[in-house]
Amino acid sequence: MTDPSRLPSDVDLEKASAARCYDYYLGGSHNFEVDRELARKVESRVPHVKPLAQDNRAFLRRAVRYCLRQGIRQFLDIGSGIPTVGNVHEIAQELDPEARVLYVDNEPVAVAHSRTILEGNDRADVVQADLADSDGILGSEQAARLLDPERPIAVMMVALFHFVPDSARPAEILRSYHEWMAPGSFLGFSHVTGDHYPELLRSIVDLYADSSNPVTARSHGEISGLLKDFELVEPGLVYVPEWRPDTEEDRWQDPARSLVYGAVGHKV
Amino acid sequence: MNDTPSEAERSDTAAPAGEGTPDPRVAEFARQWARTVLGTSYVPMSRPELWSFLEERTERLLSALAAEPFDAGAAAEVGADLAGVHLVDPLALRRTLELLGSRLPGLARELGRPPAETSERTVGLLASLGEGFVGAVRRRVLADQDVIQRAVRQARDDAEEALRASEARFRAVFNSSALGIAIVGLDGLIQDVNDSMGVIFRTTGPELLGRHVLELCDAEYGDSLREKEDELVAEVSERFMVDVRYTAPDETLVWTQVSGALVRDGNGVPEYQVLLYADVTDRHLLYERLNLQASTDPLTGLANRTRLRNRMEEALSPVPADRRVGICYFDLDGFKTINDSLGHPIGDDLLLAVARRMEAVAERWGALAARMGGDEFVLLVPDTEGPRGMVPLVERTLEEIRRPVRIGGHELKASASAGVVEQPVAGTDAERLLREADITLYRAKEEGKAQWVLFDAERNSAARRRFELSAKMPAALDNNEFFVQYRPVRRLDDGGLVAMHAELRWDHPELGELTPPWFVELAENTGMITRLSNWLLRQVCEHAGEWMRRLGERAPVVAVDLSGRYFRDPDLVNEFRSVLADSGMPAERLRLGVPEDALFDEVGDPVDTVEIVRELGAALVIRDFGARYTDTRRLRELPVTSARIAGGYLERLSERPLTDPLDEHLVGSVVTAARLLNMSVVAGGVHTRRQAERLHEMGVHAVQGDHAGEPFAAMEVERALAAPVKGVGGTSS
Repeated sequence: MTDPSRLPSDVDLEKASAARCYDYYLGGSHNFEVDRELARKVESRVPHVKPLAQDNRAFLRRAVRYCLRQGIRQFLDIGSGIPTVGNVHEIAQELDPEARVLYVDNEPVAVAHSRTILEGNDRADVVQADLADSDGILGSEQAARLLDPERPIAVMMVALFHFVPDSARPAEILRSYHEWMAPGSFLGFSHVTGDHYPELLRSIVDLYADSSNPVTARSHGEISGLLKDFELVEPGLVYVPEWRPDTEEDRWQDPARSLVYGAVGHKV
Repeated sequence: MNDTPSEAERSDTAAPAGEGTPDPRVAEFARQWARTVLGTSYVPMSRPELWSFLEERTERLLSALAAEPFDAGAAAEVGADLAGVHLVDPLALRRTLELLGSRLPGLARELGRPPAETSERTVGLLASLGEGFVGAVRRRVLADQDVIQRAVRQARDDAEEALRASEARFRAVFNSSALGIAIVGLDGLIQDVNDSMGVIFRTTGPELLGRHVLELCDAEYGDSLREKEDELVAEVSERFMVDVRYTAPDETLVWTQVSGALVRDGNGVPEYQVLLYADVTDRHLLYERLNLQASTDPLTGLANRTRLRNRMEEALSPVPADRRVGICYFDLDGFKTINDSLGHPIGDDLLLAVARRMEAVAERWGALAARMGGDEFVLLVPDTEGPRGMVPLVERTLEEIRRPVRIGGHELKASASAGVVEQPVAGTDAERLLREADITLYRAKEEGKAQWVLFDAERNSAARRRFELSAKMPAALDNNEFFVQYRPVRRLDDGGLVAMHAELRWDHPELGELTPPWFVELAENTGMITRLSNWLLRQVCEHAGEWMRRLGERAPVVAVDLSGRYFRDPDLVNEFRSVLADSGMPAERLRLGVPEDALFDEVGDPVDTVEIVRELGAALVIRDFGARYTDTRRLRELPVTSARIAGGYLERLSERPLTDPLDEHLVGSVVTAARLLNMSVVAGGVHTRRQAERLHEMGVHAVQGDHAGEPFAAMEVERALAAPVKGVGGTSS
């Protein structure tokens, strides 16, 4: 806990959690019946939700590997959720065991989960904090131990900002991280949109409305606005299957059906 | 970690073509396999990495298919490997089995490695692969579930630990706080208190449980507390703070500052209130003491203006209806004389004695005695029943003040005058009441002292005008609103100039030009006359001195009227000498006009000033000659050179076609009397030639007024001297 005066949020297993639903779409078993119930409802309205979620996860993998190729060796993954397979530290430390990773989540179960699977790994840790509390995250003991603010870093905010309503001033939140990041740093970012399939998106928004994590979809323009402080690397802000696919076979016939835009930003 | 890719896969990734470039038919088979399983669950590797992984597994299956003796165990490993790279969905298994079942034997044949009993072996391999896959997936699911359950338990433990720590912190604060803390239900009943609550309220904690919070404040504070609490419970306000008083069973007064906040449950529904009680008794007592000091007159200990004003606000509150209020405004008579003659310490002692007596009277009548400053006091009587009820109070007070006071060997007999106002509170305010009482007091003083006068709206308005005029006079003198003008006094024989008569005027900003009858008497009553007369005398002498310097022998004699009270002022002589010295004006060129009375003291002897004025050389003019006919004889011995007559009867001499014989007789008598006393006679207010002629005939020596010349300013003396002489008396044309 970054703020000792605040009680931890309730460990509420009565409500579905977005993180555990995501795990379900990826094929994981870190979930409960309440989560699967919601996930199945989503699946009935958006039948390709599993490939959609997997593709978003694949975007994370490609973005992290891109950053590694640019020489980045420290990662801050915010909204990491219940790390099923293919976590940032797995991708990074596979290439360089010395790579550092700090996970952040505001959900106590997700944090406890991360803590369990990171046991014995002294180059990766987790902080329970809210995205908006950048001072708490960047000033945490774990950040001080793992991250060097003087050197370039990759901050991953994958499938995160659509859980930040406009009232929470997402642009200001992003700016506070941008200020902190050393020149040469990268930002991995993905966000759901209703630009091309508003009715599919609406189903998801409606179903998540009662969960612990209501969704705010944003347009390409709005997301570009959020990212305006960063220089976007090729191919810019695109549907995630279009972002540097590993093979031509990985491109979707209709990338817009992925409902998620992704981009990697560079702080010059 | 259970979801880490297997060792085999890891080495595979590092060297995808470890055994050389695979046969393109195997590679194609692996791509087909990858295509059918991708998308069923997330596989943490890129498509080419998966291809390599599956090429390796295809090779192993081909080997197993052809191996002698046949062993299906290798296929079980492949099944487990699939689960290891997170190909865990039943659909992935189904598609794998379909692909292998339909195409693996064919592939083996194409590669020239066809086994015997192909179909039996294939079935055996697929069954083993399924078994290996399901076993691995089952282990994986169980492990995942175990991890997530542990995470939930851990998170719950953390939350409970945090809650426990938080509760421990709260308990520590609750128990050790000097603030009283009460947990209060939404119904206002106290559920829990800390020890400090018992200390503050002079009881024990358990005694307070189950009582209502409103019992912890006195009734008159209950309303404000209840209102604040209701707002809190109704979620109109988030928190409140209010000061209340509580009278403990032992009569101790306890002042507390109560702050309240609402606590909600997990669903945001109000659950209970937390009230904090700070003991602020000391602060309140200090405040009250300071307040008392700030509202007490330091000399007498009576209320000062501040407290009077506050108490008047209370007394003037229009509730209950039909309230009335009384104010008595007192002023000691001649207090200045006592102060001047006996000194301020004696004066202060007298004020103190008077204050004590007033306070005693006030206490009996339920009134408030206040000192307004100087020798002015006020009694405030709330809830009176009519003017009549004020009489005994005010008479009793005046009587008490008149009782002799012994101070330091002196027996002083003071007296006071009082203005009394008694009215309904509706339609008035504190300021107006005090002003009316003050004006009424002023009337009491005007009408003779040591008495009281009841407020009378009509009479007060005339008094108020005079009051305001007298109040403004000092500032008016400083602001040069007063000025002196001159009128010629001319002989009736030949129109020659006898003197220039100085006239005092007040150029009042609102009322216009005022003549002495407007303000001289007021000035005499307030003591302002000395300043005003000194100023007048100095102005006139300066003007005359200036005329002397400019005109030499041609400079006219100057006549100026002095107030009787001023003339008798013992200080006049000194002032007169200094004015003459400063202005270089010879006294012989000055005529002082005074009322006849001013020449004599109380027992009828001439005042000293008369003799001194004569020694200095100034001439005296009686300006109201004939007013006291029978006493005229006493003027015989005095150095009076002339007499002035004025009045309506002079005007009537000319206005009527036929003169009233009585008027003629009066003028004749006065003129004759003056002649017998060896005084010349000057008539004032002579406006017409006809009037002048009549007076001349009757022996009047000189006249002033419009007939003799217009008024002019001191600077214009030459022009006035050069003005053509109007026809005067018999010698004019």
